[in-house]
Amino acid sequence: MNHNEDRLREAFESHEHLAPDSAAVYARVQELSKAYVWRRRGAQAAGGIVLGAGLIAGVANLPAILPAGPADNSGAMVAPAAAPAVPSVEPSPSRPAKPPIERSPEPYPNQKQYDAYFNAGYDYDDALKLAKKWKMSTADDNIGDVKVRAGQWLIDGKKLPVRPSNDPDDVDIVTPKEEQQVNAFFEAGYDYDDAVKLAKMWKKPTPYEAKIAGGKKILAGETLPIRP
Amino acid sequence: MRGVLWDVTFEQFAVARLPSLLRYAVVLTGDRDLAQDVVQEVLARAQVKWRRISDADSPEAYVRRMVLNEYLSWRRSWAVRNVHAVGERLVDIDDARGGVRDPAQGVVDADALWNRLATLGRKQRAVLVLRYYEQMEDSAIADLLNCSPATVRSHASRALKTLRLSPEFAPRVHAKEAS
Repeated sequence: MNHNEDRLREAFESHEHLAPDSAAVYARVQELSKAYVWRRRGAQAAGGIVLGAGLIAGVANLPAILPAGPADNSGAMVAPAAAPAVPSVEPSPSRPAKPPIERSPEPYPNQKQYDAYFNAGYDYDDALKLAKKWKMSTADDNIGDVKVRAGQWLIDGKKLPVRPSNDPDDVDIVTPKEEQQVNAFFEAGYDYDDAVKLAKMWKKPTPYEAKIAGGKKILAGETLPIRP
Repeated sequence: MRGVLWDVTFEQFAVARLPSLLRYAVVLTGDRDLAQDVVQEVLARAQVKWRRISDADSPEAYVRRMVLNEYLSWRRSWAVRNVHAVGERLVDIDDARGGVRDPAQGVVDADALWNRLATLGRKQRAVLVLRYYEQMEDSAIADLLNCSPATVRSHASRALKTLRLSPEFAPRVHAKEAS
């Protein structure tokens, strides 16, 4: 066996244990997913973006794949029951080429506050910091209250005592406009593979540039040369 | 009749595969925080469009590819990520060990190599991870990176040279023994 191969493999495998805690990451994924949904809704309202049917189905599916409450999980990730919690959003057994458009779920309560919070660049970790500052509970089922309160502060024009993690003033950060364009690209149902194809078509140096260009067109109401 | 993959919910997928994804991301990025950010971003997107992903031949391969692409195109907060306080980065943690915490020479070597891996460019590092950790063929790596196998070999060769692992830099114990 090749000596270099052995050494590299050993270097990689001996540092696997530094991986972050799965349960914490999963909790954060849930937060981010909600943020994506809210951003998507905001973009839809602002730009009149027509969301892909699959995307709407995915949003409608969220309640079914959200984890059970903390009491059920005890901090660990637990496999869900085989049947989803919301039968009405079960995928069709016939595996349609295009998922059918389904009804949007009921609007989230305090959506405005959440939008204000996430759009200002704040995230879950910031909510934890705010909770400490405000002496509020950091339990998973209470962290939403922190965000709602923070969002209301932002709506009222107050400054929060914590800087957003995703501060748009950071030097190397993606500009809000770019982020909006990239989001629009994904929101329309396109993915990385599509970006690669578009980059070739448009002779863009990277798929990322294609995402930006594609998102720009989508926001302008134009149609892209390939389907998502 | 519904396919088996169709029945895998996002949560089931995450429960089963998240630890492996995180290990992959740590090895790929060499940075615990960045690994977490990358996996979180990817899974959040994957959750929203899970129906489509679960329809893929291998949802896991699809998501691992998303992780790779996210790492290679990661821009947001990259500068911020590189302004870590001392002790935050894995490299610092390993430096702090000074290679003396574990007496086993193999561990010391692995730590030293891990530190040197942090000096590679993202694509070079990715090629080594895909080749030696994921044990992928160069042609498959080329497909993932959207380049030619020759480019993959070039990345690997440069990376090995930087790491002082190319044949001319490798220990020549056997040559001495032979002489």
